[in-house]
Amino acid sequence: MSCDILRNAYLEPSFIVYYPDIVYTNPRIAEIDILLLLNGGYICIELKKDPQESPKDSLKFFSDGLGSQAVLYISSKPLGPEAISGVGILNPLIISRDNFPFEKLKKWREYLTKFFEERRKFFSIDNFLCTLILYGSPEICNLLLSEKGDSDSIVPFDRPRELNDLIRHRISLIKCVKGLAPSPENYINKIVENDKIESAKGGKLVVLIPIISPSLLNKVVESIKNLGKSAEIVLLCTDKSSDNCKMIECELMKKGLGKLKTDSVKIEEWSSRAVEEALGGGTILLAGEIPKNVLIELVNKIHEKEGGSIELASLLWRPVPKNKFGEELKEVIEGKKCDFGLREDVNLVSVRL
Amino acid sequence: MCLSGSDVQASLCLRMRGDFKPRGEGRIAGTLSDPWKIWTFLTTHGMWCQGIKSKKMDLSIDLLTGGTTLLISHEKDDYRLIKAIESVPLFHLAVDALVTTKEEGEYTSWGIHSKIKNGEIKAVNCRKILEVTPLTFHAATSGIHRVGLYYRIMAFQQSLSTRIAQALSLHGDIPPPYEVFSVEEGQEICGSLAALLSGIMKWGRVDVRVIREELTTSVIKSPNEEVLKGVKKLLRNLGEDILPDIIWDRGKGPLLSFNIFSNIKDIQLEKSLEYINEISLGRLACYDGLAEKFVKEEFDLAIDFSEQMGPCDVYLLLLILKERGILEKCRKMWLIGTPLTYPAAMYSLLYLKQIQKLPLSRLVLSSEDPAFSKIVAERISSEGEKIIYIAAGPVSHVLSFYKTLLEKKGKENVRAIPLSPHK
Repeated sequence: MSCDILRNAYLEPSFIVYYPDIVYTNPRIAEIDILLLLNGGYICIELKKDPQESPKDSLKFFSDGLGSQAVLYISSKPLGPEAISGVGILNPLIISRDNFPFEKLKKWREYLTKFFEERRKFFSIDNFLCTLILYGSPEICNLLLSEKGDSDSIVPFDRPRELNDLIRHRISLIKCVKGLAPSPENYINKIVENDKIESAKGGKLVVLIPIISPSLLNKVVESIKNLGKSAEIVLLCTDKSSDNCKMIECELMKKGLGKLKTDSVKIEEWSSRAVEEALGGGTILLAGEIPKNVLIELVNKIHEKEGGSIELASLLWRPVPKNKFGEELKEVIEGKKCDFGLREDVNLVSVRL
Repeated sequence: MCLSGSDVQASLCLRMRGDFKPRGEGRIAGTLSDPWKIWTFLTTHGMWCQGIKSKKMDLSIDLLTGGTTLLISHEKDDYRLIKAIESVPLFHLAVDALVTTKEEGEYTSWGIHSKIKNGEIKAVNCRKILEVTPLTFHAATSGIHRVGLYYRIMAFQQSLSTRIAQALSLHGDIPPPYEVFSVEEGQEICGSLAALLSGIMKWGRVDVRVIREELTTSVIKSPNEEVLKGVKKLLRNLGEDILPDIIWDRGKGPLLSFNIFSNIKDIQLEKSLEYINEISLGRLACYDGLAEKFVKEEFDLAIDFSEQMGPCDVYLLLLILKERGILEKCRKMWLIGTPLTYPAAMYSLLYLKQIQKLPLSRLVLSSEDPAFSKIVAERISSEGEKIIYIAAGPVSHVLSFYKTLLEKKGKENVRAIPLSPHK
């Protein structure tokens, strides 16, 4: 591959797309170590420890619909003559480190922390826009991201100027890669660091416990534990979710959280009781699917108290870094053995509403 | 009638009604301009909309096993498109066998003779060909994961929309969704019920723990052994005469019954009908008494879609507004989808755009991220005087969206109506 093509392309490290049904399950559908976007296409680049495994891994990308040229690999070793794909697709292409534009990746290290925080805040919509980059047809992207402002334009993408820089950046990339705009605009360097998404660090924590899937119970316990280190915790459940509540209480007590109170209330009293408990600077955390009438009552009651210094939060799936920011990127740039597989996980995190 | 317990192989064949052309010249109607494009859009989770130039696209549902075979005949090199659709990892297509045949010539370039043979055999015992909407066709070709189940429920509700409205004593000259897609009610009901039963049958083969993990909401329960046996009997006896009645017991919600099974005493069949009633109509109890919650003043309507919501919900809401005499006071309708619900919201918007003399309707793409839904709520609150917010979306979205509406417009200008079966 010509080095010039790589130099003119847009590069982005650590790119993962999740299935949109991330509320309950979180299977990844594509993991790309480095994404390279060209005007009218994209290439996925994987870092390989052993290039002999490339044809097999390459097939995974091919069968996942990531393109006819399955994937490029950066490796210092040659592929070797015995490695053939044998499945009617092109052999993966190994590119030399010498021709790779590492200066673009070096630049990324400056933005990485801010970029990651912003991506966490807009995780669900950013994931959707990344899905469009990989799988969306130009016609669909044109329909969704049109700025024409007519009744067929999709809100809020019809007015990109009102959107956050990360979203504008993604839209710009989609338009470039689908051939709808000549080149992407760089909004990444404009991203400013905002508040972190976690809340409920202090004050009383009132947790509404609905029926929770058994596999999520431990994650919910872990999230509450992380939030409630110095706070008084009140677990409020209904008769339907009291078993879940007992289990959570038991696990929290095992973890040494002392100031713990549990109560089962009628569903029609759930919101009043939560507001009553949280008055004076507390946080109400929703740990799952709560009936919509309870949610509306909750917002109405908090609004009636004119803010009342009560905060609302919900447990949402968010990416959590496994390592120090940018550590893998540094290793890659320096040519050390490393992969991006250890970069992030997804976990239930409290998000202020 | 007696229940057929024979093991004679039979199947039902679902086919998309081909002569549907969306009204109007807008870009949405232009993009989703035929049933095949709409099906591609739904099955790739709104990522693609290329149509396969197919003269025949049939789904055969085996009435013994619930197994599905998708048979696509195509022109020229369209098989590449079919393979491409199959390779999109977000796609919902999960049939037991996919058979492709070339319209001119004997086989596709990569076709396997035995598979074509298999497709021909499946077509031989076809009891009936049913022409259905793209939504029902998509539901029947969809996987058995949670999203697949919701599409099956959505399609069944769509097919019953007139009967649900009648049971709720709602009347009006608004065409039901299946009608604007040019299909007959009887065929649509039978087709969507076959899709639902086939899905439940397939769950019988899946580890029960996996199903429980998929169906984590309090509304949907996984089927037990008895239900599965009853569903098997129901599927075997499926025919076009299986039109159900719906009785709306005020305070208890809708109740589905089939006249042809009324004289049969079979506990498994009863349990399966109870189960189908609960999962497919249980949520609709939220429409009981909903009309009284609307006030007679000019407003914008923001409908926040939940995963099971589709065109039937839009149809019922329109009828409720009409019944209250306030449809003409509705200035604008916003259909709010999230990344997960956006294809169903778009399909519902397409339905809305087929009906004349309705308020301006637009699709809104929001998300569970409070930071983004706040931006969307600010935008919507800046365009209308008074807003009625139909709250049914994900928890975090409902809370941050409604909270922002209240902050921007004040309590006097915002009214939230929870769309929840819980009383």
